[in-house]
Formats: sequence, C-alpha cells, structure tokens
Amino acid sequence: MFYMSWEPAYILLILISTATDYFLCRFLTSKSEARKRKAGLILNISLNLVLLFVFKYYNFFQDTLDGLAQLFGGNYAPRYSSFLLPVGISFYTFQTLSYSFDVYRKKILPEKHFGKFALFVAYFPQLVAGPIERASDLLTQFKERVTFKITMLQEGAVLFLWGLFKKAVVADNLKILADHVFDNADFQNGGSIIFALFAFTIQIYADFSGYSDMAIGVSKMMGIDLSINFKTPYFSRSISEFWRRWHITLSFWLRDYVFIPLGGSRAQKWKIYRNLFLVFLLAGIWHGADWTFVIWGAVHGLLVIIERVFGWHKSPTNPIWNFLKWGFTFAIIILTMLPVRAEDFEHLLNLGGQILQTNTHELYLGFAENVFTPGIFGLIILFLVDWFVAKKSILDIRMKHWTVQLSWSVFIIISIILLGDAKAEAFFYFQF
Amino acid sequence: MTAKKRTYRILLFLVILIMADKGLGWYLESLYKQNRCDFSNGKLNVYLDKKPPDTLFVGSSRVLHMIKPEILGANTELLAHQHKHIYHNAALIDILRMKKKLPKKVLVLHIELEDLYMRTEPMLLDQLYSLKYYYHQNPLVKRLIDKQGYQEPIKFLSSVYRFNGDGWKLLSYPITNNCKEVSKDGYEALFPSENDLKRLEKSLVDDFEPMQLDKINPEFEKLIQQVQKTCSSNGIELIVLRGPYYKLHPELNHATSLMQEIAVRNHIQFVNVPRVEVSGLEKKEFWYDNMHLNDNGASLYSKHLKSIFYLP
Repeated sequence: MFYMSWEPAYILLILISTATDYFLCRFLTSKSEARKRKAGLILNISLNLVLLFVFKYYNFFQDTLDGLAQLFGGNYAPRYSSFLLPVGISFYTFQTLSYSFDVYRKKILPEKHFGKFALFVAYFPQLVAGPIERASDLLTQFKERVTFKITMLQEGAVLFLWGLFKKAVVADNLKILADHVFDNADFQNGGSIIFALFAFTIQIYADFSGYSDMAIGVSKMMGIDLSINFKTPYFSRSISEFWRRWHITLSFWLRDYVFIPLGGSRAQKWKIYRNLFLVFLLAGIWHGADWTFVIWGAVHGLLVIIERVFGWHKSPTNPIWNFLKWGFTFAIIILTMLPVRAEDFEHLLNLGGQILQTNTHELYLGFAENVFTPGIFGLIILFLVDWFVAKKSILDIRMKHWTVQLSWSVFIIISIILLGDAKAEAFFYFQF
Repeated sequence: MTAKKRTYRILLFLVILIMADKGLGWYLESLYKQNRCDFSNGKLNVYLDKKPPDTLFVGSSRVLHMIKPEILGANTELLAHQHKHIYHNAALIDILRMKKKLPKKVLVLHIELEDLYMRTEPMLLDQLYSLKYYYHQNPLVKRLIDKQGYQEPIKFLSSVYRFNGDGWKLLSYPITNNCKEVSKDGYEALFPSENDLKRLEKSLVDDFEPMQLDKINPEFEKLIQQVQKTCSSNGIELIVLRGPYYKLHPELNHATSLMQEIAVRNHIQFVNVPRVEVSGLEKKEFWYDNMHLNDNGASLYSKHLKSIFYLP
C-alpha cells in the first residue's frame, strides 16, 4: 500500500522481483549440483538487472548510442521509453541481490515464509531510500516476537525528530539557496558557485542521512533495528574514510559482493587498483543514469587509488596534520559534488566554466534571504550534534538524562515548526 | 521506572511543548503586528496603516516592477508581491475587504494566463503560505490552504506555524535592525543593467520549454467571481489586466481567448496588453527578462496604461 501510494502499477515490479528471488533461491538450494545452482543464481540476477536496466538505464543507453553515433559521424534515432523511474528501485534491487548471493554462498537459508520475505523486500521505512539491509540482519528480526516497550517509542521518536530536523530545517532551506544559484549559473561567478556547492554538500548529507535517521527511528518504534548508514562522513580525513562513513550499507554491499569476489585486497596491486576503480564506477552509475554520475564515481575511484598508492588513506597522529587532511578532504568532497548536482553533462561543463569566472557577480539571493539564516542555524546545530556524535558512539544521540531529552525534543519540534520548509521537498535520494 | 512516573513525564513534555508553542506564538504575533519592513507581510501592514487609495493594482512581480503609480496618477498604489498569483491575490483582496481597506474607486487585478490551468495549482497553493497568519481569521485563506491536504488543519494547531518561513526574520529584526523599507507607492524598479540582454536571451530559452497545459482549473473563475462580487458590493470598478511579455509562450495563445470568455461570461472588464500595442517595447533594451520590463520599459508601459485606463 505504501509503495502503491506513489504509482499503483509499479507494485507489479516489486512483486515480480520478490517472487523471482523467493522461488529461484528456493530452487537453487534444492539442487546439489553446482552447475544448476549457478544457473539459478545467474537467472535470478539477470531478471533483477533487466528490470533495473529497463526502468532506470534504458534512456541513458539510448542517449549514449546517439552520442556515439554522432561522434563517429553516424546517424541513430534514439527510441526513448516513457516509463517513470520507480522510486527506490536501486535500493530494493540491491537488497534482494544480496539475499540471492547469501543464499547461493550458503551463508543463510532461503526464507520459507513468502509473506516474511515480501516484508523484507518491501519493508516500508527503508524501501525507498535505504539503508540497504541484509537478510541476516533484517529478515531474522521479522521472525522474533517483539514486546512493545515505551523506550522503543521514546528512542525512535527522538531519532525520527532529529532526521526530520535535518531534512526540513537544514536540507530544504539550503536547497532553495543552492538551487537559486545553480538555476541562474550564467549570472554567477566562481565564488557564488562554490558557496552554492558547499550549501549543496550539506543539503545532500542532511537530506539523505535525515531520511536514514527517520527510517531507523520509525523502525525502532516498531522494535526493528536497521543498520546505521552514516557516521559523520564530513569529518573524514581521506576519501577512503569518507566512503566508510557515507552510505555505509552501499559501501559494504559493494565491498562484499563486488570488490571481494574480484579478488579483494589480497590480489596483485594493479588488480586491487583496477577493482577499486570498477567498484567506484559501479557506485557512480548506481546513483544515477547519467555520465555525470559515472564521472563522479570515476573521480572518487581515482582519488582512493591515489590515496592507496601514497599511503594517504591512513589517519595521521599529529593533530595539525590531521586538521589539514580533514580540510583538504572536505574541500575535495565539495568540489566533487559538482557532477552530482549538475542536471546533465552540458550543465556540468557550464558550471565548471562558471567556477573560473571572476567578473560577473550577481549573487541575487532575493527571496532566498528567508532561508539563508535558518539554513545556517540548522547547519550549526547539525555540526554540533555531529561533533558530539563523532566523539562518542552514535547511539549516544539519545541523551542520557530525561530532562535533557525532553528539552531537546521541545527545541527540535519548535525549530521544525518555525524554520522547516512547509512545502515538503522530495528527498534527493528518491531519484536513485 | 514506574508507569506513574512515565505518564507524569509524558504529560510534563506535552505541557512544556504547548507552553513553548503558545508563548513563542504570542511573541511572534506581537512582532508580526509591529513589522513595517519589507518582509513577513510588512508591506501589507504598511498598506493597512494608510487611507486606501483611489486605484489599487494587485498582482505579481509583473506589477511590482512594471507599473509606475507616479505616472498613472497621484492616488494610485500597488500592492504587489514577487511570485504571487491569483490564489494569493484573491485572498489578499479578501483580507483588504475584511479590514475595510479596499480602494475607493478602481481595483486592477493582474493575472497570469498559465493560472487558468490545473497544472499550476500546486504552485498557486504554495504561494498562499505567506498569508498563513490569516488562516484563522479569513475563511478564504483557510479554504485555499486546506486544499493542500488533510494535514494542513493539523499544522495550524500550533501557534508558531503561522510564522513558519518568516519566524527567523521576525525574531532577528529587533537585534539586527536590518529593515528594507517598503516603497511608498509599492513600485520597485529593476534598473537597467548590462546583464539585461543576457538574461532576456536566457529566459527566451528557459521560459519556452513545453508547459503541458492540461484541463482548466475551475477555481480560477470562482476566485475572479468572488473578487468581482467583493468589488460590486463595495461600489468599486474591477479591471482584470494581463501585461506584456517580450515573447508569449505559444501554448498560452489559447489562454487569452479563454480569459476573454470568462470576462464576457462574468461581465468583467479584461484588458489584454500584448507587447505590440506598446510602442517601443519591441526593443530588447527595455526588458529585464522575457516576463519583466526594466525601469525604462516600465515607464513606457505605464504611460500606455494611463492612456487606455482613464483612471480617476
């Protein structure tokens, strides 16, 4: 019902994906011959990836063929599909793929109960934007009886409110600011583009981690624990560390199901670098069907390889060096957000050109004035909380004393009501 | 922890939350009423302080930056806001009625043709958020905001929510004293700049993407009728105006005749001013972008309006 509220017909997609995984995984465990088991797995993966390709990557594929034809002087008339991108398709496809791999590797037994398996695929808090869960973590919890405790509600609500604050106060206000600059890029100079990139970098973090917090919070209220997806990523001191703290469930998915099967860290050095690059290319293309995302993935892949080659991925002990590394890493993260924000390759080139502009300056914030200070206020609160969380465990976000919890909750609720964007912008990661 | 203690804490939380909401709501309301700066409806407050003019223009940025009251006549004013179209402006006129501040003789309501279609309704509803303060006072504001969805009345259970979006400026103004004054007659010039031509060329591309205009929004005519009723019962002449574009989106050609039909059906004066009617406006130098004239263009347009309106 939750998924159908967006586009009723697309429930069929999730049903097909669920049924395919359920029956094919049961089939492959019933066979002892390796050949048949492998055939079952390949068939399952192919069906899932075909759906993903048709609904997410088909038009991108057509555009690429068209571009190639033009490059070589040929003529190709692209035939576009009119399908809407199903919300969360990348998330639930990767979740079901991990289940298939785990069953194939005999790490878990296939689920017998179709209803419980369907719940694993379409569990509403994390269906549309993660965290990407493993069956060994989530599915097993559905089999246990949950005894309701008021503390579950309390802890879940605090986390949910914090996520909502990040989304409504920080992300949505900064979005208006950043969009205003990016939509009028022709009139901006390098300074304002970089300012907008900074705003966008915070926006995307507050938006995505806000959603994850809300998903974890809602789930906690029902007695189900979801995986932590962010660990204050902007405090990272290298790009490698950033990917261990940003969208953790995707990073670990790619590590376990792509990087390690390709040879992991035990292969020859050039193979490790090749594998790392492939993993980051995949991470880029997972995010969006456009060359801008491929570029983003490739740039991050190259940066991680460079860090490995020079040993820069290790955390220094000297605090000054540590601080400089943090500053350098954060600056790179901001700059590499350019392809993520660009609408297409042409827009990326345009924005890149404007960064070098120094003369025309018309940073007209006009109607964005109303969102500037609330956005910065939210950013300061977010920074302080992240700082606190970085110093302790993330679970310490539920503060110990009840009076602190009470005052914090009142403060957050009033801030959301007063400063949150009432227009309720869609989550950025819904497009993935 | 005992159940009694837990219940006590939950009750305490609710009491503190309600007290914080009511207390802050009361304080923000007092700041809102005092505000005479160009934010949080300070412009409306300034207008409500004064005696109503003979002629009032209500509309969007295409009134705010394009019509110069000083050219039109001594007792002419604008009450125009950026990005505010028919829903907002009809509600604003109803607030003026409620406050007994309608113009004495003529009300000119500027409209945007795309507002005739259902496709623009979500945007029109969003624009009403700046009138949230009047939610509990004006039935039309309430009805239109409630169209957003079932959750709207719930949001207004909070006193603070009426100031959502404006709250920070209201709270910070007593400290920063940062106040952009409201212009006396409501006009705000877009002075010609070297970027005008570049901006016009860009908007001639950006504004011409397919609009995919769909079915007619019946609310548009209903609101025009309501404004007409308000005017006739207060002895005011209503003129519905549509200003020029440098180049009209081809999908809006049909909308002009639809608007003419609405005007005839409801016995309303509809004045359509295409660019070609105003001599000089064919030159790009008079335009800020495709939809707005710069200050020099506004002078030409205002002179033209004076020649056709015969305002008091």
